[in-house]
Amino acid sequence: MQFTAMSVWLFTGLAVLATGVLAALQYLRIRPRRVRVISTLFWQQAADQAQARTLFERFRHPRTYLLLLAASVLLLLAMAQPVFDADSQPHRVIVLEAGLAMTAADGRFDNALELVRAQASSLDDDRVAVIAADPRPRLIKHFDESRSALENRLAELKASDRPVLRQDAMQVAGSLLAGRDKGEMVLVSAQPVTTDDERVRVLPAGEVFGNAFILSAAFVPDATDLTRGSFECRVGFAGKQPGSVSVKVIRGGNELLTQDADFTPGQVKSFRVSGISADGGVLSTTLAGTDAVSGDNHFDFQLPDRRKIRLAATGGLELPPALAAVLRSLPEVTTDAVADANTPVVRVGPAGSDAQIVILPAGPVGPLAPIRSTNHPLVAGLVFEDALCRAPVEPMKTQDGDRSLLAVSGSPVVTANADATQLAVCRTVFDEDASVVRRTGYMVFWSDMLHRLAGWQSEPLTLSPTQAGRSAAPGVAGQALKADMDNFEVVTDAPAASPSENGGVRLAMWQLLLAAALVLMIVEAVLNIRGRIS
Amino acid sequence: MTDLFPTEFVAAISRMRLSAGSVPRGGRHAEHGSAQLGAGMEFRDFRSYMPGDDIRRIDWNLYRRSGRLFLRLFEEERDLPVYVLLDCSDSMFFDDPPRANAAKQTAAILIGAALNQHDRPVLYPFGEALNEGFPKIPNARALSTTLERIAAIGPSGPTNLRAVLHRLGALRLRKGMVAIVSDFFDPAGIDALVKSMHGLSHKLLLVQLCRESDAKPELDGELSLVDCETAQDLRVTVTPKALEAYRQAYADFQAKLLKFAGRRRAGYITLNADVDVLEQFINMFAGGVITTRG
Repeated sequence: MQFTAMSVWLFTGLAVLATGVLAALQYLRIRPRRVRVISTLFWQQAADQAQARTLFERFRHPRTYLLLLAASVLLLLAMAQPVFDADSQPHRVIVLEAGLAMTAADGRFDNALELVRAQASSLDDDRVAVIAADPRPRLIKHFDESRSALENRLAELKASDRPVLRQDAMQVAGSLLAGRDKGEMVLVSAQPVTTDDERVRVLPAGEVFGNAFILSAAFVPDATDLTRGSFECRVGFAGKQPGSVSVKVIRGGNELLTQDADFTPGQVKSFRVSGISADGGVLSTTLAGTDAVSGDNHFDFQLPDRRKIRLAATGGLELPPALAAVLRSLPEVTTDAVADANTPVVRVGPAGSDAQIVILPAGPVGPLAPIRSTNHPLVAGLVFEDALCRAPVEPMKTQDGDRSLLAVSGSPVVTANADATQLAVCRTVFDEDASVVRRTGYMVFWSDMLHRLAGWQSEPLTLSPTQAGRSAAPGVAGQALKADMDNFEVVTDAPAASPSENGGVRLAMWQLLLAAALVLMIVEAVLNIRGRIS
Repeated sequence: MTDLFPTEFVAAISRMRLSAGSVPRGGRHAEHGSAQLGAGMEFRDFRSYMPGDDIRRIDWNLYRRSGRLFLRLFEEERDLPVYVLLDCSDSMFFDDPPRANAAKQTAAILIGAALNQHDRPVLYPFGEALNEGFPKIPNARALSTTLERIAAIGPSGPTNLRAVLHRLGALRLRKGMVAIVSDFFDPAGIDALVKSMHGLSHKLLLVQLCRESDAKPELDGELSLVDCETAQDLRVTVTPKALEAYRQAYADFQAKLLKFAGRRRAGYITLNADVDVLEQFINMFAGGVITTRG
């Protein structure tokens, strides 16, 4: 008998511990039943004798102890998940990479299938599980399935035209071997794979060709002008021999970059296109050249929409020095006049005044969530009492339906109307004390706040194969529109993800033990209630 | 009559008699022989005539033979004061049916037998203290009212027989017979109880009401025993060894009570509270005569 969930020594230790703890509890166990008697005169003598009993005699309710001990041992056995078929054969999980690399017309996929069959036939059926990654990992043979079922599924299997999710496939394989002393993974792949995992054997299914692939793409804004920046693309190369790749970045039919680059196996190079305007346009990156895998050489990237912010003062209001100083330092902000009253604007103005400063957003402003945490990037490290809201803070003039986006000491600093098309800012920005401008926090706050009010996306996006496929979080600048590495999603069906593929026996065993332990506990409780034990 | 004293029971005790041997001096004329010599029915002795003696008691036949005047002396028959101490403590009312029922019937038998022979029975219910005795006027007509009062007696707290006996001694009653009808489960213990009873100057009759469960309690396991009188909580693990210790303690108790009775020349009756009391009396005292030693 083997324990799959814990070692024999741990099981023995826990069993000894349970025995000792239960014995101690038995000594401490005092649950007398109250009985009225005609006189305790004669019981006094019996009690005196009871006190003089030996240590062994004080060990009361031995039947209870034995029952609870048996229940505890059964529980431990259930936790240990014993298996009685202590066969010397290992459990083997074969991972077949049925992805794009297998589509090469050199018969490598057929070769891979033969490798799988050979590996599967060298062990008993209940020792072999097979995972096909096409490109998502899925279990095509459980440990408790027959080899004929594997043959049927292998016959239906076709190589996918997308790169495989090798890491996910190996994770699933590892989960299948969890808790098994003898377990190994066999990876049948058409690509060069190196691993430090001693349990993994790699079986190449064919010759390895050179392959270039896009690793990541990012928009990096300029430090002085956040509306412009550069596009950076990282390209990697794998193979046995050095190769040459042509990288093209195209926008609206115009080639912004065309560059040939030589790669050595394992090398990664970056390609940059500067002077890109963050106007929401789409950049397409394409790799050209000898390439075994054609699926990961194209990438579409949408730039963030960061058009300039137009800001205007109306109602005869002049920009206060503090705010004006901030605005001057922001190249993306220009002052302007309001075209008409119907223009959706962001307004900034003092309470009780018709005068206002409006921000003309570049595009539709999405719903802005209120800032409720002092850890929010907009307000982290900012001392409002000094920089913004000197006491006493006058309540901001709000209109019906307005909601507070930021409040300090109970007074709103930034509000928005219901559909977030108009926003207003606390009047304290009109403090004439220009010294606050020198405060970095003040400038950063208003800079970020204006970006936020104008609907800017704040963070640049960097996509990589590991990040690809995750939907971009709100506010993230840029997004991948189309890429072969996109939509990588680990979909593991429940049986495939379960670590107990032959759990038909093992689950039944521990469930049986658990049930037996519960039955013993119930018996002990019933006997106790009926006074048959104590 | 009451459920406790049905008509058959009353009829039966009307035929009971109490034999106490000689009775102390004093009292009134009745049916018990006494150490006092005088005008009785039972001839005891002669003595020389002395001036002032009743000449009706001169034995003229003896004068004719001896020429001297002798008086015939007879044993005077006196009444016997019977003081029945009826234990009405909580322990007597503990079980169902309570052993107080048997105790009340026992007391009724003793009272009835005493009244049958014109003795002076008085029943003193007691628990923690000695209650007022009855009947005040002991005659045959007092039996029915006495039985009714006995039937109406309820529990009166824990047993304190030592205080009761001390109080009884302080009453300075005419010497007679004291019958204690009780389970004798005094929390003070049998030794203190024996010491108190030993000081009594009366004839003593101990009537103990027992049950089989007293000697062989059917208990087992971890118990918190609560004394029905003192509410004392005693934690005991009832094992065979503890049960054996209990039985030994109970046997010691009984032995000490019996030893005291023997040394004190007191009567000692053990009645099973679960068996008909009248039947036990009839079986125990053939002919319906309750005999006490001393």
